Amino acid sequence: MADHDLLIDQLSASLAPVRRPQPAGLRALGWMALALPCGFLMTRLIPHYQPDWSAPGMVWAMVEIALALTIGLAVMVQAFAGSIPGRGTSGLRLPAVLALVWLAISIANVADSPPHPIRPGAGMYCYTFMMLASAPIMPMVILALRRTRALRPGRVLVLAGGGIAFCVAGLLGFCHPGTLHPMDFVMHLAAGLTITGLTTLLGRRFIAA
Amino acid sequence: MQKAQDGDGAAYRLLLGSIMPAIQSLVRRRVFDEALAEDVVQDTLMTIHRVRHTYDPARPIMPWIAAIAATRAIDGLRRQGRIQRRELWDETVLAMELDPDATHRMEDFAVEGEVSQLLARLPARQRQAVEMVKLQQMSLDSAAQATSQSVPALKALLHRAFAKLRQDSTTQKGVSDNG
Repeated sequence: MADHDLLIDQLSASLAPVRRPQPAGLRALGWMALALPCGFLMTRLIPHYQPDWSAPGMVWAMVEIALALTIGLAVMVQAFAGSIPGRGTSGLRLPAVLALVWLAISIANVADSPPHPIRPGAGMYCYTFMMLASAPIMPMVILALRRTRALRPGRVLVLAGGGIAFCVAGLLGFCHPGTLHPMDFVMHLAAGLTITGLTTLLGRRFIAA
Repeated sequence: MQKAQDGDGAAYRLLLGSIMPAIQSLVRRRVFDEALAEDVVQDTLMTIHRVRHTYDPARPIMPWIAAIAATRAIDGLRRQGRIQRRELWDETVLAMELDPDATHRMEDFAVEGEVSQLLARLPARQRQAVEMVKLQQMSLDSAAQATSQSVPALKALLHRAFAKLRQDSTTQKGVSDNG
């Protein structure tokens, strides 16, 4: 007990005023407003595909973009909320349902696409685009999460990585044809997994409480 | 806690002191090792200090503290598990690490012990003869001179001593075989 008293004395002596973080929703919105333009600017390093927005299949592509960005935002809110002790990640049901809808639309889009022979390097544009866009976003989210730190950094970073992946998939929608070939879709998923893994790996030490 | 977030050291000391029993109780629900529980309590206090800005005064404080204590308890148990899996408690290996010749010495001690046990069974004169000729490696002449007896008498003593030792070892072997 004496040791605890000594520690309490030391902690009290070194006490400095602190600033409370903003609510998770506001933090996620602020992060998106800053990170997404940075990510999009980064993709200017490679030539962009200009989609024809008046083509017949583009309505579903627009729905996919809107869904991906909404899921990204919702998951990021959960990541920011989950970094606060005692909050947990109980609000994941909505993003999970939206992700299922997004997956169903993507699969339907793949099924509707005209048959296309698989050529070497297919889907590399999508993968490169997503990785380039996520390059500045990943450090930004790690820095944002470092503000609060997390008791369970792995869980929080998996969520953050998933959020980044969906946001970047939303950005990709603005530079992607309306039709989705199977190889493209596989590379979208591969990029999403790479982003999630990298975010978790890079941020683990930085945000641990 | 709100005052502590604003930098009020006295309020912070009062808060930590008053939540200490709760922290100890939360930790001891998961950690049964007394020393580890004390470590986890200290770790919990340090984490509370590090993330004190994440507490929202609009919410109750106990779920916030309970989450920190529970996480630190689980971390402590995992750390202890990892250490126990890696550590080996082998006295022979430990002795070898400290002194590489230790095992040889232990063997020598063991042999010495066996020899003394065997010699203890002999009468005093026979034991003295064996010790001088066989252990101290004295010549028959010098051993005979030292014990004031003739060389044949010393040889006879040695012969009787070895006969007795052989007989004892045969008897002991028979007992252990029957047993």
